[in-house]
Amino acid sequence: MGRILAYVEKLNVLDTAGVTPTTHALDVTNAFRDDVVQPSLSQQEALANGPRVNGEAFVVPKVI
Amino acid sequence: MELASLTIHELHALLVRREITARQLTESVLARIAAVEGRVQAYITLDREGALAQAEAADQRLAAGETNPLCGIPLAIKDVLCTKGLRTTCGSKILENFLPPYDAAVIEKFKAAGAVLVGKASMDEFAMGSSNENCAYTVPRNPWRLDAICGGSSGGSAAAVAADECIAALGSDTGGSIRQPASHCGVVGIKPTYGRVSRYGLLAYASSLDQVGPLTKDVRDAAIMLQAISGHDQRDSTSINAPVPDYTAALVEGVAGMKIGIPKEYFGAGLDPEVEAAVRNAIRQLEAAGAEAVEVSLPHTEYGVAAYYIIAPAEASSNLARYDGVRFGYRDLAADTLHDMFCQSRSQGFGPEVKRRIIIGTYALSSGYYDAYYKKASQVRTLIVEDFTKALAQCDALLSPVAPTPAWRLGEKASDPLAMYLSDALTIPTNLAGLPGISVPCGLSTAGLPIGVQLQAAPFAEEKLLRLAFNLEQRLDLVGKKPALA
Repeated sequence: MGRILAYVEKLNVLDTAGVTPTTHALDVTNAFRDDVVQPSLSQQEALANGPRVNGEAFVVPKVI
Repeated sequence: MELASLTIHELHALLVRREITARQLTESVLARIAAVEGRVQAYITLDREGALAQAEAADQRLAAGETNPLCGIPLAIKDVLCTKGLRTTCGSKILENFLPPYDAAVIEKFKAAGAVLVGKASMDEFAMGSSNENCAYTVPRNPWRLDAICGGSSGGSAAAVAADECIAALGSDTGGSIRQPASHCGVVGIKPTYGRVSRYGLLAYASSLDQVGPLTKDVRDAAIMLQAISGHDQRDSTSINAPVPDYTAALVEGVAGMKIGIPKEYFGAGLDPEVEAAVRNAIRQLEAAGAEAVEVSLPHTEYGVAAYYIIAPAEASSNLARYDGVRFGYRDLAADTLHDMFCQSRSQGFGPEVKRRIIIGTYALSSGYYDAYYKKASQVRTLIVEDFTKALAQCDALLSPVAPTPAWRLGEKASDPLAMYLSDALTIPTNLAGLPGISVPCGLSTAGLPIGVQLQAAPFAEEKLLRLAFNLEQRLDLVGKKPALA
């Protein structure tokens, strides 16, 4: 892990003052769609992969 | 001739003329798997019964006049794509029993086309790796030499195509994970433009880089597969609403008037002489077909790996936070407290490379280090994007090696993650810039291992890549050369 962090330090030889960061490769802005309710998973389907469920919710160890 | 060894377009012609049935074809693929899978180990999960049922449904459609080019074609799917009711592990123990409640968008498209889904192909855990050795289940062998890696992270997909254990496959590419294994296994692989293919139902690794694409036996099949999976999807907000061209129409003879840029930085120190010779020969072949080659420069190429190994782990550390043992995936049921449950489920469920990247990514995003790492890498990413914009203003596509060496021996880099990372230096910049790229076989090393050539183009210029790749393939005449599986 130390070697990897030492390796990425090589970016510091580049002068990036004033360079706009790229977080998204293509020039697209927010993608909006109409706020229409679409079919979604049933409660049963959504719970099917739960490691521990009680039929209507996921069960986890006591929080408080 | 075994049906399993043929291409999509050859088999489609036989299927629509009813000279063969989809059931016969699927049985041929399943027989091939039974014969060679013990040596290749390309699959994590096989679905023989489902495949045969899908083949029979395809036969009914074909009998009724169906002409979809994928109807009845047996495909392998990288285990990073959700398949409803069919186990999807992402190569990780943390998803050992995960049965997706829905299909990925590309799987919906395949099912609508009547394709036959044979099984889920092996991969590096969460698509993190370059040799497919980071898989919790099977480590596929390179069909050309069983002591060599098949590449990664879509290694099982590439090995399955090369070994005729499917007709074509899907993979995903975040830093070269389609192109590099395609190169090492002697098949064609396309990483489409970022946004060309919906990622709905793709298990996320690094969301600003991930893209789904095909691995196939020839360029025409790659065009057919790309056609089938491309297009806008409202459920993936990064998918682009742009028309999908007819990709097979791009496969025309000759490349007269096309200009190929040769980025000098891709031919630097560390490039294997046999790889360089095969790639230089590919340049000469395209020149003979009418293209003009010009030298171009991508001066920030050497910083790609460093930028990637900040950006991709940063995104992964966020994406993989969802594997907490609450709603799906592995949970340590012995944990007494919620905190212990989170920690122990993740500690026991993730493998070492995934943990390494989560830790690096969390560190790079942490308060006080964000500017030094993540912001810096994102600025360098801008410089890399600008390099490509300038270079691609001078030519139609960039031609280079895919990987600096042919496939290495299993285990050779397994204990040296940095050496493994550096092997992706020539494919990572494509993803940072969101460009399309293709890997096409261009030769064999003296050790009998395949060598691939990479073409990259401007966003949504897949047709140029396909046309150049098609002409290269015609002149190199490597299609149909089969690995010995020894």
